[in-house]
Amino acid sequence: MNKAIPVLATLSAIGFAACIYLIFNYAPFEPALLFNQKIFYFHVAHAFMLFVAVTICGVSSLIYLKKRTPKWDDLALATAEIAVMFGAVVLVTGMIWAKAAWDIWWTWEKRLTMSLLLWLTLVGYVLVRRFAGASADRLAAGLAVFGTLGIPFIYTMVDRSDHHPQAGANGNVMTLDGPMKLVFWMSVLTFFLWFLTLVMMRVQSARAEREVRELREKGLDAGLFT
Amino acid sequence: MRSLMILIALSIAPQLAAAQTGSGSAAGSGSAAAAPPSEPQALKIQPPEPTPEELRKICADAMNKSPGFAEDIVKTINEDTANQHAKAAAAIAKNEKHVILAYAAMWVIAAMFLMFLWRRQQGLKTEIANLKRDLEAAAK
Repeated sequence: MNKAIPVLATLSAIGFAACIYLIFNYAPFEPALLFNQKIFYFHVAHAFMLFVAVTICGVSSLIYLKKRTPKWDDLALATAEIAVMFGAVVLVTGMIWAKAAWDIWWTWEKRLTMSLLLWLTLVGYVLVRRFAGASADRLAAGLAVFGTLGIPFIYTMVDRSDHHPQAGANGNVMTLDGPMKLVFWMSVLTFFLWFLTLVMMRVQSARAEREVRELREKGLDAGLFT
Repeated sequence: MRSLMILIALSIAPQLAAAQTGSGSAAGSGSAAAAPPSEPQALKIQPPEPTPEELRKICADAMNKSPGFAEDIVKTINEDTANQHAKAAAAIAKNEKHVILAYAAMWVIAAMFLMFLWRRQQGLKTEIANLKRDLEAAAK
């Protein structure tokens, strides 16, 4: 087991506890978005980690397609599965927040639709890896690169007709006041540590899968399996 | 054939009798519509509900008769509306339900993913150990 995993997991756990305390006891009440705004600290932090995971998955897939080095494929697989998990949290917490703030579970506005499409692309990646046979790694790598291209659109594709706030320099995240900004970025840091913990765990698992495949091939060569 | 004719006559007879009774009463009263309704129909008749305009008129008349009553009505309605608004605002401002639901959903998804990772890792460890043992046994 990678020695960094327990250290990162412990730091993440401490970070989670501190974040929850700060969100409910230190971060001020937001008068426009009311108490529902407390969802923001974890919902947006998860969205940031989704972007990080998808970007790493896309870049490592691109490198894998070029160099065919297994470590990049392991990293792409690990980050894709973690991105599915983070994406599910973003979509579910977003729907709950939408119900609380807008009284609707879902609306087909641009950012939501693109986020759902990105998540479905990632689910497609995982399914291709599982069921596409010998060329699954390359097919999935192409899909990951395609999915990564959607991220800039999701981030910037919000106009005035949408329910979501604007992104960028004048967006909600950049214009948060002092205590809110501190709690939010602390939450992002905590989820980044959590993301690293999961990536290391999943890469370890991907290496073990590779080892199983190699041992099976050896067994076949030795006539152990029919 | 004879029995068939008897059957037909029996089935037609009540209808003929009913037709004769109807025409007789119509002739006697001068109009079929004037016939008294049967008892179940009479029970179904309800007094017509007042229209909103009629209700408004009744209310306005009552208010005009007693100015104190009018003030009471307005005051009660204002208080009720204000209370309802205050309750709704408080519920939205302190909407714990959705916040708890969102945080719970996040932890449940994370826990499921961790469980999935852990179980797969355990399965792989066992499989690697078994394969290594089999390969070593085959090498001997």
